[in-house]
Amino acid sequence: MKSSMLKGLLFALLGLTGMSALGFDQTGREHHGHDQHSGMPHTPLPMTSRVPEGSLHQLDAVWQTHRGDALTLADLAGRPVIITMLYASCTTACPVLVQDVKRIYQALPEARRSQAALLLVSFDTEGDTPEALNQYAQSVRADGEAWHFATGSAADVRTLAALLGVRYRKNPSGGYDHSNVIAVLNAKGEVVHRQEGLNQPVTGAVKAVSLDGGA
Amino acid sequence: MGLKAVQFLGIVGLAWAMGAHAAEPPVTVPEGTFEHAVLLDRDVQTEWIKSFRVDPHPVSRADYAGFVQAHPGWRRSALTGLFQDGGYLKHWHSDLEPDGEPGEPVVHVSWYAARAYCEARGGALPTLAQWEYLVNLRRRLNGHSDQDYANAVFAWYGEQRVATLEDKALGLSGFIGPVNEWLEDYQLLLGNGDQVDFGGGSCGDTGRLIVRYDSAHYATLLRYQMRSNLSPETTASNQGFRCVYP
Amino acid sequence: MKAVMKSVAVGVGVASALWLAGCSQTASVSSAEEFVVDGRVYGMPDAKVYREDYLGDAVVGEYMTASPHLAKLDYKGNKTHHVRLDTLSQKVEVAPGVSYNAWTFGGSVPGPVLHVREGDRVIFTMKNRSDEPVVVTSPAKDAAPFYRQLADNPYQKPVSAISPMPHSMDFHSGTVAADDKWRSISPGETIQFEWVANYPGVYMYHCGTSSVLMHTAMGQYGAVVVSPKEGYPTEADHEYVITQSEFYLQKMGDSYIYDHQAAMANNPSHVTFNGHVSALMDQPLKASKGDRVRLYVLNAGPNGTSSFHVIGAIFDRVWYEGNLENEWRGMQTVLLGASNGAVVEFIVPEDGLYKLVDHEFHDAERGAAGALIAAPAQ
Repeated sequence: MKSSMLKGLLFALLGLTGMSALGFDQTGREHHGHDQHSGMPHTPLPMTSRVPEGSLHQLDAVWQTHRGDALTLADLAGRPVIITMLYASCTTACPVLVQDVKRIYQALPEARRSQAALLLVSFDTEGDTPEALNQYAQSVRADGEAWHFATGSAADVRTLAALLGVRYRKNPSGGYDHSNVIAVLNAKGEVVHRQEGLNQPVTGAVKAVSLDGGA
Repeated sequence: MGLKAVQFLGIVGLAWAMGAHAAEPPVTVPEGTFEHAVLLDRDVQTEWIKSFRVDPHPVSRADYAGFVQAHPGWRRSALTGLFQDGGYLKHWHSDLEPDGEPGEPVVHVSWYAARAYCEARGGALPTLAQWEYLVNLRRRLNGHSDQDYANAVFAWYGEQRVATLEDKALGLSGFIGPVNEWLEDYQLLLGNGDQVDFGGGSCGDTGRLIVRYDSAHYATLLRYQMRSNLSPETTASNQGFRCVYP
Repeated sequence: MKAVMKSVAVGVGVASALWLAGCSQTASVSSAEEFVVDGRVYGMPDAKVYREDYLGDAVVGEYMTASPHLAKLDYKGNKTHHVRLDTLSQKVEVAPGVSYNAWTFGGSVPGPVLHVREGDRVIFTMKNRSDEPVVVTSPAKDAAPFYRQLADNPYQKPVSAISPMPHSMDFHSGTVAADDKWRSISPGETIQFEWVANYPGVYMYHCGTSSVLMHTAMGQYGAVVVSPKEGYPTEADHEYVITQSEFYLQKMGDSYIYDHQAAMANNPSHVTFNGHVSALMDQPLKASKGDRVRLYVLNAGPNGTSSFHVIGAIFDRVWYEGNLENEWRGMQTVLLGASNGAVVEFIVPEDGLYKLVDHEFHDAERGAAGALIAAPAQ
């Protein structure tokens, strides 16, 4: 969200030089990159978008993956996404979360498994550089194509956590206390399954992915 | 929307974008230590709060109108249900025309919207520690008694009544009404080892969460808990915010 | 702590599916997750939290009544009840000249009484309407009996108020995972969950949102009566529900607010039967000589005990917590801790006035008293 807001501010300043309100509107929309801001009943715009009201694809945060790629949630449209939040220097809960994601992934029916993306976003926006996450991915043996360990801005991490119902807090010893949540996004980006706690059965998540027919 | 409104919004929009809106400039808050009245961990935590600048008043409707003027994605007709609960700016006359007095605090804004506003102004929502530090500082510098403070909190949450606890020292209004204010990290995480989602502040947790069992601590706990239980897309009629700046 | 599922459609879809599933059943499970132990059903589906446009009655259910009334169970066997009880703010009077902005279920303090039978299933819906002015004095024509009874005896003089606040619902009559079903919801959110009335009794319900003492002291509680499957062995001529509770109020300006110091010191400003010091004085309970009167008594607290006594009578039967297995005879007083309930019966010995009191007299003197007037039936 941060990047788009900065752009927005830029356009607001440009606006001073004589850009009309309409100009703002068009420019703003173009740069938001999606026209799904049309869910409210007041809107005169037609519902042209297929992105549903609750889709996390609307989150325009740009993540950096452990491979050094830029990634947005919208890039994963059409695929089921298993998503969790953790950090690399965490030795207690986080390795279990990785294993939980792995167990879900491996339990998916073949056809869905080949489509699924696994997104693991770090709380530690300072320590978890793409390089550090790459090292982490190797150390937990989770470097297949489906895996995306990701880092982003502190504000974007906070936004994603809010959307997933993940609570976290930097603790005095330098680590993070955090909820252990794994969520499943369907092809349209909606949260169709959410589980709390470690070592949970995989059935709910697998069912949620299997029921989602894809894009 | 009438011509007058267009002119009005043109002015606030312009002023807003220049960062020279009608609202008073931010107040510089002195550095200091702060002890949470609520135990966020097993130990009492004393935090060093660096000096920062803060809006002296909750963000006004006029200020917010300027923001949505400049940022169409955050207008009522544009903002989807992912970032609000359906009641976003619901009392406004239109996308750009606030209800009530322009100087009144903006309400019916979600946490997502409040953050977007502050970010666009080059600031951020206050952190829990910053905001609660301010509450403490106001109490201390103005010599508000614990009982007056507690009663003000109970009156505000109980019946939306704003008690007159003036801040002559810092000149900051708000905090205990007329709005509840969004904070960046308002959702508490009250740990119990790796079982962080257990006992996160429900029935029976008070005893282990506050340092002392007097009315003032309890009133503060009520605020921490009330806030923490809000969903980020909530747009309540008494929910506003202010921003902080480095 | 569990978050709302983002998809509004998912929540509503499941809700309506549950609605359709309602039908008569006895100790029967309605999904693969449910299981039965000793004829009692456990393993309820997850609660749903969603948003809905709902402006209707805050209390919906034909077996929902205002105290001291109890709905008759006019059906055989078990039933699935669809019950709505929204949480909302309401200015209510506790004693003459003493009103405060209560946090309520349904608009009264205590909230409505729900009557079901052991083994019944309750599909419960609650919207947090603390951020809208809800009027409870002009309900729809086919509204729950609660509304008519409230209108007939408006001793609390309810006036709509706004006080946005997260709230939750905890039914002591349900056996479920509290972190799921009893979770807090924000203003504007709705929660739906179900429970099976596994045990008979007089149960408390209340808001369990932290800080729980203030939430309950502000008025968020009421009673659920679960009648035994086989009924009581006696025939009662009259049945009444009495909920005792304390208020901790202090004057601030021209109204009253919560007094935490008093609540911590267990020093209530008022102790009432059914929410007002005059509730059972202005409109006393009625019976006739020789009648068997059955009282469903709940001590909602939030802090104190009740030594419930009827002056001039002895309890012929007491079923502690309302369970037939817990039968006592010839009791002069029943001691109820916070959230304990009991079913008590006595024979009206002759025409006259019978005072109901908390025999802890410091509480009786603060309002915990009522009256039953025995006169020839008209």
